[in-house]
Amino acid sequence: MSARVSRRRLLQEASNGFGYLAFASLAQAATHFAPKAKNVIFCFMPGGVSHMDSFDPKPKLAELDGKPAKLESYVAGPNRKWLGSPWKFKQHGQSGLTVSELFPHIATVADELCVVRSMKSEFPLHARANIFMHTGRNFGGFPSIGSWVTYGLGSENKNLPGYLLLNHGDNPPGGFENFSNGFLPATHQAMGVRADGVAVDNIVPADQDRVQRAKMRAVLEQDRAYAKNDPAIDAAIQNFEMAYRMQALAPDVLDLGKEPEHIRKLYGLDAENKHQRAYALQCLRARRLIEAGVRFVEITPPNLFSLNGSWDQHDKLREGHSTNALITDQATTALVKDLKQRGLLKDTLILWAGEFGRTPDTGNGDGRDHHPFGFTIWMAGGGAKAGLAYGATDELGNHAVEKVVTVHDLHATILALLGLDHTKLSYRFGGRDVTLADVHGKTVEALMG
Amino acid sequence: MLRLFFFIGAALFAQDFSQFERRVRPVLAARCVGCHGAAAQMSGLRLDSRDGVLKGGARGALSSTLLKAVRHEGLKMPPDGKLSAAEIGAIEEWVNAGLPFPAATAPMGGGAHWAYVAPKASSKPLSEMLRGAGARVPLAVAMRRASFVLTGLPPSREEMRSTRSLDEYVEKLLASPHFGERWARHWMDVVRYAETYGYEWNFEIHGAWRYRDYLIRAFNDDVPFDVLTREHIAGDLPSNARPDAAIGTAFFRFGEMGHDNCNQFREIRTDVVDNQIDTLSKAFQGVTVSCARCHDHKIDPIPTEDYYALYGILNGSRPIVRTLGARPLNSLAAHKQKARGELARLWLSQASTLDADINAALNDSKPHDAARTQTIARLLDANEFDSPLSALRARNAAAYKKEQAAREKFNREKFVEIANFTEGVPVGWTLSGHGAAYAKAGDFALAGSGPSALHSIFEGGVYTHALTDKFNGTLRSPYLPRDKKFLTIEGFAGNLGAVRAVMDHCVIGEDHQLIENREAGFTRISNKNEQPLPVYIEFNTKDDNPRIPERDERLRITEAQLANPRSHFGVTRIWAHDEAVAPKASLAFIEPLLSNAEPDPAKRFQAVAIAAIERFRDERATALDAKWINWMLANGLLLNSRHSAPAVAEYRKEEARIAPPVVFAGMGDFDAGADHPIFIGGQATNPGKLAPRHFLSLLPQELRAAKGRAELAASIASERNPLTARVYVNRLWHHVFGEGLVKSTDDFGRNGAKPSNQELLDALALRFIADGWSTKKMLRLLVTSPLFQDGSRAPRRLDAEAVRDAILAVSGRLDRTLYGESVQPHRQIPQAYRRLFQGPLDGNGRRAIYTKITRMEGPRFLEIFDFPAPLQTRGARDVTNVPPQALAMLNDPFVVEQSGVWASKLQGTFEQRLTEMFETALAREPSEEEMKRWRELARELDGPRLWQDLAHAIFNLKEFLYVR
Repeated sequence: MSARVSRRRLLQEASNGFGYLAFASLAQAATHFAPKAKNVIFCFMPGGVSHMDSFDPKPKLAELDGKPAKLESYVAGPNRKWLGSPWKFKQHGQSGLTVSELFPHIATVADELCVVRSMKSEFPLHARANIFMHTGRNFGGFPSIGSWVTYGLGSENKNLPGYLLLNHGDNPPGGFENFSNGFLPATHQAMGVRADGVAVDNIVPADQDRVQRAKMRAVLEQDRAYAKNDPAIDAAIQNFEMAYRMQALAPDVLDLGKEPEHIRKLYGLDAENKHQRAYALQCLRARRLIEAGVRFVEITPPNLFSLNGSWDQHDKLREGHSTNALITDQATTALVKDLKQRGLLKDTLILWAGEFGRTPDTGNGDGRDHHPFGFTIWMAGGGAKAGLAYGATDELGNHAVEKVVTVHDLHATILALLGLDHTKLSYRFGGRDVTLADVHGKTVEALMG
Repeated sequence: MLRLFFFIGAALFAQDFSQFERRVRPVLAARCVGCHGAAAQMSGLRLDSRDGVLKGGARGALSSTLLKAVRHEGLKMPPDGKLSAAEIGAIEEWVNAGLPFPAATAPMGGGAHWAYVAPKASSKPLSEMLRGAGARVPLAVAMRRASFVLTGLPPSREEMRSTRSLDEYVEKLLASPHFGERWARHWMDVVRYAETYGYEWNFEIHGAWRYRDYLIRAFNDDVPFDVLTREHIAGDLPSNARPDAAIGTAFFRFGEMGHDNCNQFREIRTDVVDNQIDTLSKAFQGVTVSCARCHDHKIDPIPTEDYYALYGILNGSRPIVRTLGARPLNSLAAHKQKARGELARLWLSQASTLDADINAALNDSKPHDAARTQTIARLLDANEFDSPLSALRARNAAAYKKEQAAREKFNREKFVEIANFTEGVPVGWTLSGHGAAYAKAGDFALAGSGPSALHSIFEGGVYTHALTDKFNGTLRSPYLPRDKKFLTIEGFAGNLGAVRAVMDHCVIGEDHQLIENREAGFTRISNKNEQPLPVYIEFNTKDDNPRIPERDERLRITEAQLANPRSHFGVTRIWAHDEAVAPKASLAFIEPLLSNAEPDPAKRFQAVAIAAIERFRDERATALDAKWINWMLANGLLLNSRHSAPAVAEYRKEEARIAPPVVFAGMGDFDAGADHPIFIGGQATNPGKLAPRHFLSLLPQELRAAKGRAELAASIASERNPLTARVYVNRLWHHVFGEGLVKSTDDFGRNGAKPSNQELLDALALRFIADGWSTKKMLRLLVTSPLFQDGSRAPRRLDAEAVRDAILAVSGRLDRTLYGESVQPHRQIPQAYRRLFQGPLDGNGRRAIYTKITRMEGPRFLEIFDFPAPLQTRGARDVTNVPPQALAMLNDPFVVEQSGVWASKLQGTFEQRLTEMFETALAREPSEEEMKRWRELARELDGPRLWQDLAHAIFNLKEFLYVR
């Protein structure tokens, strides 16, 4: 059997071998109640997308545009003015969901979306808010939601980590703590997969396969003689073998060569903008990884405008948001459509969220600042109620006022969709049974289909 | 009503305590009084006396509450698990019987948690308790074990050959300088050691690596652990004997820290203190005090009041940049004195012809120096009030007096002087660094480089460069009143001298600005008055400024500026004010000219100038004299050239040899501190009553009193402290045997693991104290014990540093140099704007402990092998067994590269080389069967990379990565 054939067979194991039957039983065993979703794709939009320019229309803001603004906010200061949205809003689909022209593609799947317009975070600073959105805490050392989910549900694919982070090699503020396993076992830590260059650390074999296999054979013979029946050594030996198989990830699961032209086009792999292509690549990889049984995939966009998250438009809102939307809009939509046509959307929850929103007023006429008091996120598939716009901010988009959903509530709801009770999914650390939402958070049933 | 009933009931049934003693007291003692007894009174409740039960706590009179709580109706008590039905029944009966409770018994101690009472001596000898269960391993195996445990490196072939006994080898290892590296690194996990603050911009924690070197030295010198403890907590205070004791306080500074406005984001500060409390209490006491931030600890007797009592103690110290050691001895002052005479002589001679040049400019007469005459002509036409020369024009004294009066009025009305340094340093202001000192008028600073002879002559104030601008310095204010919006500083600075407002101890806040004027002038800063938070200001030279290196987007600081060893500032006065205007400069220095009787204007000017220079020469110069001379130097009336005085060259020769000061982030006390309010629910915006400062109330009474870090250090580093020695000895045990006697190394509380052998732990703790808190003695005892050599032990994977260091040691690339600045880790994608710079693949061959720990992104190779994120105390690392470790060994370029390095050093026949490889990497010879196996492999792999491939395969052996 040639090495190539061997790897091909591994791919089959990785992407098909552990089918849904096996998975379903695994998941059922671990959940607290019947799950609606089995996997999650978290499209994280660092920097903070402006809600009143995307999914939360505020006509009143247009009326007041340019007039002196009074806002109770950490950015409150003299000479601030209300800023109407530069983008027009329209209703879409049967649900009549209102989406701005910033996201023309996403608007076409409006009926799949479960939009929450009454999100509330607690921290108007990137590092804290990012870590809060990921871990339910405002400082590092706690597990990311992706780690909690893989800890709670296990991984379906025994050849790949359960939590993969598709990024561009850099971390948003807060660093890797956003994606860390915290005190959970290290297997639940996110493994980064970069868009450019070598996708995963050490994933490319250093040797020709023939050489590697010869070395491994000798090593395994030595190892088996070294410690018979020691569980740690046995596990290390298994890891050694699995590491060998994981090397197939890059050439096989991540290789989009086998994707047909129309799928590649659907995601925008032929786009002119290279950043759009990079994001499209990661979205298509996300679908393939979900197919291969990876539990939790997080995608972050390329960081173009601000060191603190690409959406962080304190100035040049029009240019920044337009470009970020261009880069992410088509591929995000393709992900929804592609998962749907493959029958995977019902099991896969897509979460689209930044760490906070942006202010309805401006200090410089063309920028919006950090705004945790009311903002928008959306979900799709995975048991989230489709075609829904839930909750509301006040008429200026300032405070979430109706059916407020906190970050803890969002976390609780996501876990609930996965069949996990956020009060029960816990890990004993530092003398406490620690949970994702700490002592906070309530499941928002209305968001569940 | 209910209460009355019970009171009567008690009277009726009080005589019979037998049911209480048999069924109730044990439950109260075991499950309740730990938190509601003598040691702690959570919710104000005590259950160790009848009065206590009757009085109840915060929830009011107790009897009914007690029953509901134990039945878990609403309130659920005890929190760590419901009582059994029988226990609840006993309490119900007891309550119904009217709470019979013997009055005059001692407080219940039976419920005290094992770790909170003193260790007990054992009748068994330690040697008996340290016996192994099975056969001893062969010497070679014991040596490899001991070498990794004590130094983190594999034994060398020479050691394997020459060593006769384990005892002999252990002595060698304990004396090895690599011992300190190994044990310093273990302790660095405990103190969450990092070299950057993380958050958004990853500012540098200044001199963090000095702490690492201090630890290495301390472990190598076997500094007693109680001394080390005192230095960590209060090494900056005068009672410490060791010269670098203050570096210990860097311990408080390794936590994550944000740069944003602490008024708006109170948690930036409160999280820092929380992390300090958490680290301090876990590291030294094995208790989780930070659980009591928002509410009384649920399990351990740690009320919220304890947390804020400790908060108050730590908040009484400022996080500052400290300078190590005394100012280096130098004779710069003597050179300066010589230069003073030479310069005065030169200037007097230049002044002797001033009248001719002034007259030439005024009257077109013949000049002495045509160029100077032109300058004078220009200055004569300058602003009428601020130039002494223009004052020579036909101005009358009255006009100046009127203008001066107007300026003084303006300043008086708009400004309040809050500090004046011209006559000395006001009370409450403090200086640090080699340079910062008060200097009287007429003192001066010579220039260490450049064309000028001197920086300037001082008008009197605090200056950092009186001897050299290579010396660092900080001037710190007391807490400032905040009833005015602005502060204006009169002073100057050079090369990144800055002034910073520090709110609520947020030392990397954005409120800092460089003082841009190089000559005396005004700098205005905002005085933060939004909230009642303590604010002070600091003036810093570059090295003392925790905001430098600055982040990309703020202040345009060049690489050349950062690299320049020079930086200085000088401050004379500070005012507070509400209007965003600058004070008006005083015209006082014109006055000597107005009051001088000499009728000829040129001679009048000359007379004033000469008098000023003479007084400078005689060290009697006033502030006005200094201003006069500085003005003349700045305007070219007198020469300021390094060639003017031979002493300047001598000064520079010595000054060039002055080494830059060593600075590090530490702690400093500048006032008596204050009690801190309890933040209700942990919310900084919701302060409650003050928590009087004290240390943990779960400790014996005599260890609780503490107002500041000195008492805190004494309480912790005390042999009467039931936790300190136990927690530390357990840490040593953990590293020697892979698992602590208490598995939860950082939690000895009720939630922590029970000791697997408390008798042994106590005996070791007592021995440790009796042996003078000696780490080496304790390790010698453990590592030479039969238990250590026990053959039934499961193999342990090497920890991250040992994997990496062993690869370097085996390949021959290891650079055994001790100490020094850290080496950046190798990164996939460096991000300069976050100070994540690229480092060499092999770390320059240095041991892993010298890798820079940048909080935003750790050293990747080490993290794969469970190197912990530096966020909180991590006495016991994870030991994971995950595929990325195997991938790293198979494919990481570091491992592959080192395989090549190793291969290139091998010589001899196949047998010789393979034997050498086995001995170096595995501390044993290959068997015949192995020789055969590897020969086969060699045949299969044959090619130019053969030996690199074989070396690579050996690095992948579990036998290499594990210790038996």
